[in-house]
Amino acid sequence: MSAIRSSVVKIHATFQVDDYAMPWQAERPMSGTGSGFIIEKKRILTNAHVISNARFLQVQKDSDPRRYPARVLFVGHDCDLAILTVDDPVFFEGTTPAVFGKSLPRLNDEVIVLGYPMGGDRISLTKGVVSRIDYSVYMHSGVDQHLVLQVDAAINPGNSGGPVLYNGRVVGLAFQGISWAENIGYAIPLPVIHRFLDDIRDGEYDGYPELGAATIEVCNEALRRDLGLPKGKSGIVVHYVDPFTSAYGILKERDVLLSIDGSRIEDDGSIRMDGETVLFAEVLERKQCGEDAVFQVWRDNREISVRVPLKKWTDPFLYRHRYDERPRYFMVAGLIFSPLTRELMAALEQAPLNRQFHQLVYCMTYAKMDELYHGRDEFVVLVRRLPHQINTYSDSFLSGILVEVNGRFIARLEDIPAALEKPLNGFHVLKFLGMDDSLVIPAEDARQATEECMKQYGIPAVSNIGKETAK
Amino acid sequence: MTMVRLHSGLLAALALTALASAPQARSEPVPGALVRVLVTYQQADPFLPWQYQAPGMKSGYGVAVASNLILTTENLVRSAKLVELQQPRAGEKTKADVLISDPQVNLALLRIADRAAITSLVPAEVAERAERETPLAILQINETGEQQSGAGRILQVAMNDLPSSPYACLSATVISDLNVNGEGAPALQNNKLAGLIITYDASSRTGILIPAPILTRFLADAQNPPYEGFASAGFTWAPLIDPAKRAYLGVPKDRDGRGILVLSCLPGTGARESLKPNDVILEWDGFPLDNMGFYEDPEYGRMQMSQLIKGRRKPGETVPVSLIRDGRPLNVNVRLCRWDDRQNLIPENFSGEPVPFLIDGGYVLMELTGRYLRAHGANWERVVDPRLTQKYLFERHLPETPGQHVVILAGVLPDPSNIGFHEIRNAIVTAVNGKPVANMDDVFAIVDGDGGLRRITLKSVGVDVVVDQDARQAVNARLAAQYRIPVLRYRRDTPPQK
Repeated sequence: MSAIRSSVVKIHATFQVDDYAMPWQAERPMSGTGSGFIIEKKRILTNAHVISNARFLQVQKDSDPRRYPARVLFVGHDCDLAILTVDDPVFFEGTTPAVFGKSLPRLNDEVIVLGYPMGGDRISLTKGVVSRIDYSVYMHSGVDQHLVLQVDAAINPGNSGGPVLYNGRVVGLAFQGISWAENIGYAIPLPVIHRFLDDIRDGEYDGYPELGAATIEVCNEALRRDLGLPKGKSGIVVHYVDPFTSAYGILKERDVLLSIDGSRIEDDGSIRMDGETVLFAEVLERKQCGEDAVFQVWRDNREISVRVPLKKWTDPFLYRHRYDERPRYFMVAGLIFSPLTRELMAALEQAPLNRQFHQLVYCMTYAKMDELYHGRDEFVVLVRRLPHQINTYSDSFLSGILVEVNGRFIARLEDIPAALEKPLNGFHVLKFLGMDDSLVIPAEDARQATEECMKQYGIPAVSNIGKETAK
Repeated sequence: MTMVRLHSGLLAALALTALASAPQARSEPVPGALVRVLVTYQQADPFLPWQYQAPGMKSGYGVAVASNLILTTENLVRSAKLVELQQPRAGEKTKADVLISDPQVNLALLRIADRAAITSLVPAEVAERAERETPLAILQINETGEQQSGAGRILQVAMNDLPSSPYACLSATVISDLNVNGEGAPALQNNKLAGLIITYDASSRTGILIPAPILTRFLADAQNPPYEGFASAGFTWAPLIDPAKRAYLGVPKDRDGRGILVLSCLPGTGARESLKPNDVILEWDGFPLDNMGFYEDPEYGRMQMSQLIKGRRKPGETVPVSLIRDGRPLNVNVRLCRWDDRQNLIPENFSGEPVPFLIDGGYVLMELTGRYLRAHGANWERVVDPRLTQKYLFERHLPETPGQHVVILAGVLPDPSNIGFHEIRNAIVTAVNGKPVANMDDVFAIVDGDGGLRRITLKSVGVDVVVDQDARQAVNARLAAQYRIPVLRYRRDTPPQK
């Protein structure tokens, strides 16, 4: 116990959240603490949310009053894990890297949670049992679902990143709770941690590949008959394939997935793995980009084998929370445009909601399924109007999605400045999704109005177009 | 047994006593035009379209406009199952039928079922106009059944949005000392009917009145079937104030301060034939429009342009319009129409009528309405599927073709035969049995032609909901019994089960 105790560290972070409603600046810096633990190769494993948006990081051991500056080596926002290191070699003296368990504990196995939660300065130990092993949304990204370990040991703010031990070995990493529930704490389990450590072995974090096939169960008899699925075969049927994912162009709608990598898929989508019943997605969960998944598929009344190479997943229309990215924006004549993000929605929600706001919710939810994204890299939104005589009559366009500037389609933020180069008969004409009216600005006065707005409202730069990061 | 007999005998004796003393204090109805209108109403259940919500009661006023005709508000008799009339000082109630009710002007005409039941009605004459200077006498009935009258006056006449439905109507703001206790209370000027009060706010002592000219138009139309209703132009527009936009659209400088901007034209209307988005309308029916859509009315002064359409014209008439299109002046004629709530892609159904639905195999298909969406709570825009919210907020007036509505699979009544599809809720239906559907009529035609519902295609879902054909009939019988569904379908041209 003393060995692992010496490797559990407290992380002091000063962080600053960007202001998506005024994207040229950030909100007041805040500080917080979390936990982490030392693993091999002089690294510290913690949660991504402990170090996200950090401007300054320090770590501290239980036995040592000194705080050591730390830096981030890897972040996986989709699995809420991060690796830090400390450049001062003195820090790692006398510490022993934590040892990982061989397998997941089972229900009712007793576990210990170590960390630095609120309520004191020194290390804290709480005890409980494994209550549930299940899939759940990882709050840090807001969209990704992975395996979680639910324990009834107290997990409180500050515990994040601390180890969950079974028989003295790490089997999880405490990371989130439910504020209105009692005795429910969640930990990131071994398979997710191992996959992350595996992923960064090549010096880069690729993240999870995404199959991208939305499925429904084929337990309905009429549906089975309609698909021509013979008795004795079970599986799930694909009803949609996401265009940004690995299965696109390989799996098709109405394909019945019968097995994955040799494991039979039941009608509810489950498979047997290591003696447990788990969702078939668990097979994919443990894979790296570049690997394959092999399905037996029932297609057009016969069984075929389909190999899906798993690609790195970059989907501009997946609305994860964003961290450590300066918000992108472009300002013209006091009108601020930004790409649609989850953070932007949170900022727009502070103002009274108009119908364009609800359209944004629709676009976020159904961008791909209803093919609203076609030809676009992102949705460009009129975020705010800095009042100036030139834009007095443009309030009705707020939160609207910009589709056209001077007759030119806007596929991404960068298209605006280019389109402004060619006004129509001396006017900039802006069109918005679902609106019959257009926003018109005299082109000749626009440049001066932009400058006046920058000066009046204290805006340092007219735009942040590129994908600049905070660090 | 004997006890009961004893009681009934006692009661009979008491009743006789009361009757015996009647001649002295007999409730004699006051001869006049005012009646109390007592309404029992009932609206369809938005979530369970095969049944109704609990009936409710409300009361207001009406005014006799002929010996057997009563004018009142549409809002009062909306969804009425029973309408009864009561004269001042009288206890007796007599039944009336709703002849015509029009939510676009919030007026309804009732006919007394039994002509002999009320004999002392003195029909009111409708005034030519509602005068701003002439004092109003507002009539109502107090708690004891006595008719009372209070003074009031008209402050302002304008096109206002009706509180009970999404239409603008010529209406007058009235200030009154009388605490008006029910809608439909008549306001008289020189003993002629100047209007009906539709709302009253006790804190500001002001109310809204539908003025005489609208009553006259409505009555003339209602008594001369078929009812034509009030005209709509069939387009949406916006003020055109922004000087930059004016210049961009090519509106000449000498027209500064004039003209409104056409945004969209509704399908199947005269506006769709004659107008185009981005047209700037300078003059409508001979009246110049300012840049906010007002004109100078010879009778009312500065007035919104919708009065030019709704107040001065009838559906089917054609009006001259001068406009600027693509920077050039142009004169066109616009045929006016009647635009009914039903014609919208998503009707509001504010009157809570039954909506067409079909239940087959446990799958509940129905027409989407604004009322259904709102039934999800004050926060409905965020509660229902964003796809439906977006459709309502951006496209509800705009069917692609006349008669198009949104068909939804509202939900699934769980049964072993539809297992696997139980979770589906509020999904847009694009096709039934493989054939595209634009409204519930299409659904009925396809299902009846094919002998039943076979498959449902949902928007952006690549796998159809497949209906178990072997089990269908048995399932329908079972579900109807289990969920107490009297009829498994309602089609609009057959009247709803009452």
